[in-house]
Amino acid sequence: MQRYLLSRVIQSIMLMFGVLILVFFLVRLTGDPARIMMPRDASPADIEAFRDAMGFNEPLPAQFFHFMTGALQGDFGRSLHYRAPAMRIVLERMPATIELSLAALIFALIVAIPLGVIGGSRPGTIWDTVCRAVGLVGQTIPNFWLALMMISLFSVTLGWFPTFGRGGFSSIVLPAVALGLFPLGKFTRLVRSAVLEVRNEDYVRTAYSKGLLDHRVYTHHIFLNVSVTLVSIVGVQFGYLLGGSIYIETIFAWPGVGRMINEAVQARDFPLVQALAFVSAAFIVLLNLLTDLAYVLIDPRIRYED
Amino acid sequence: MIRRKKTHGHTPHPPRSEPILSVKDLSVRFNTVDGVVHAVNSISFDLYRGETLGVVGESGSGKSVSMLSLLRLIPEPPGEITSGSAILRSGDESVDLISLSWKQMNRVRGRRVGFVFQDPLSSLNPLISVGKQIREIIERHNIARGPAAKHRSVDLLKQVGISDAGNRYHSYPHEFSGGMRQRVMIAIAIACNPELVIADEPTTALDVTIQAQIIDLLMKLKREMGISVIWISHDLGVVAGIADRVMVMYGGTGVETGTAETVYRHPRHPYTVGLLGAIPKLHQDNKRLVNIKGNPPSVYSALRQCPFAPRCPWSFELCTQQRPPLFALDGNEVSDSGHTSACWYDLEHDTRRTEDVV
Repeated sequence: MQRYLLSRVIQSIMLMFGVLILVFFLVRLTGDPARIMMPRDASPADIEAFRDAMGFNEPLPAQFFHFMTGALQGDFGRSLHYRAPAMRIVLERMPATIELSLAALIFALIVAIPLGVIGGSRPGTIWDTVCRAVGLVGQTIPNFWLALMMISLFSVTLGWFPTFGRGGFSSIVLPAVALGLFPLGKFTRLVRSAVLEVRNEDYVRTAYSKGLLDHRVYTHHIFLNVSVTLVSIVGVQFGYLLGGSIYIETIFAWPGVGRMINEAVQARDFPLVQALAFVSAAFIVLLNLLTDLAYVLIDPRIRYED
Repeated sequence: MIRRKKTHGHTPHPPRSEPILSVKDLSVRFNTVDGVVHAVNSISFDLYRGETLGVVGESGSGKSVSMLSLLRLIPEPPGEITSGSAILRSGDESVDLISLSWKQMNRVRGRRVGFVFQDPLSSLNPLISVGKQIREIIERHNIARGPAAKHRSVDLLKQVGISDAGNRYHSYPHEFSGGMRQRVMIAIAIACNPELVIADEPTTALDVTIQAQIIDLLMKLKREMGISVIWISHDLGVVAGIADRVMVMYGGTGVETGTAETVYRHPRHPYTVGLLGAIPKLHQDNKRLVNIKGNPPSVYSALRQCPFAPRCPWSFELCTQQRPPLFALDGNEVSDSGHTSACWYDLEHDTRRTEDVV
């Protein structure tokens, strides 16, 4: 098990190196980085001065060396817009995004697991229809549209929740629901189909043959096996939530990384974009690592696969 | 392949006590999108205390479905028990399994009737240690709790011949060999001292040497614990070696029943005759294996005639007009009671039966 985890950690580190290389070349692939980063009406003299200041006149290998040595120390340069170290700004924003993503994920799981189990265990009933409808609606409603509709109803008309900003529990409800809707639909469908499949497994028949009661068969035998499938999708979806939060954070003026990605791209703040890309990638790699760890904890068959 | 006639000590004339299980006219069907599958067509049989009943038949003959449906272990829906009764007797107490509520059924399963399934790998939960899977049934039926339940689980592992049971308690099914997994299944089946164990092709998924070990183990436990066994198999050889009585199934119903000796030596149903004739024999130099012409009946239509009639060399008009009842065949060479055959043709006297005899 240790060997398995160690190899996964080494893989992740190598992957992050690859991300750094991509992040470095991405900016330079588009031609003259100085011209892209500077405003359109900047004078040639200003651009030349900027190019010099950013080190874009140096040979590419030297630039790469500087970038990598800086990045390994957490230095992605200074944000052009905020005039502060890019990495520090990103890390300051990270907790708000993680908070929102986690809230969305928890909301999605709390609704999806019971609904999926009920639907999957009673195929063809009204419960199953509800379950399938939620799965479909959750995955097809655009979350930015839902966000606007909810603001209009719950914040403007009813005044239950604030329309934007971060502060206290009531401020996170609407963005978390809007962001969690897609994974909610996805998890509901997944849990339903996994329950449908697992309940026909031979070991479930064995569980019944022992005289176990329904709730025990479901909690100890069916859901345990469903969770193996669920864990893998939860990890992936958590990563997607980061991407989805670009719209939601922008709509709700949520001070997180997602909104910053939008701002940084608009402002052509490339050092900040690089730092954001790196941190987002690192976050997803970390999630995958945690997913694999969770797998190992749930499924004993993986533990000895060295 | 009929060879294992040896040490299992089945009595040639089992004591005719009261049956512990009497199944009458049990019918099971599956309502599928392709139509109604008539899986079991009013089967009737008795199981006597302490005996091993071998249930043989080809795939799709309804062996497993009929036995699983006794404990409502078939998926419902699409499965549906349409008629019948199954009286399980214990002392003066008797219950009809078919009319039990789901809750009452859950007290019979595992406690009074244990199950051993065909494939021990898929029949054990891969994510739960074998010890916990045994302990679960002990705690469910309040045989023991806590450390005592664990202790009993380890004892059961020892009893089914697993060495180093204390450590093996924590192992997972994938860490066991096929034979050891089936031993674990047997431990689960006998954990609550059941009166009856239904073994659904318990050796089919195992290799031959392991098969013999598992058969010996189950038969030993059966003798020691006084369990009655229903042994489902398509292997006539295995059944010949262990069964006191045999029920041959065809088309979702029992076509011939009798002691193993009688059914194998003096088959009285044309299907049994064909089945036994199709077994390759070592001492005969046949160029081709003998087969039964034709195919098993369609399961999509209700059984209104003899299911074997279209393939039967002895069939006549009556066979396709009316389903034959079970005829008691007493006065034959080995005069044991309980030899029955569902056939309009009397093979013993080479005559046709008529409706009047019913």
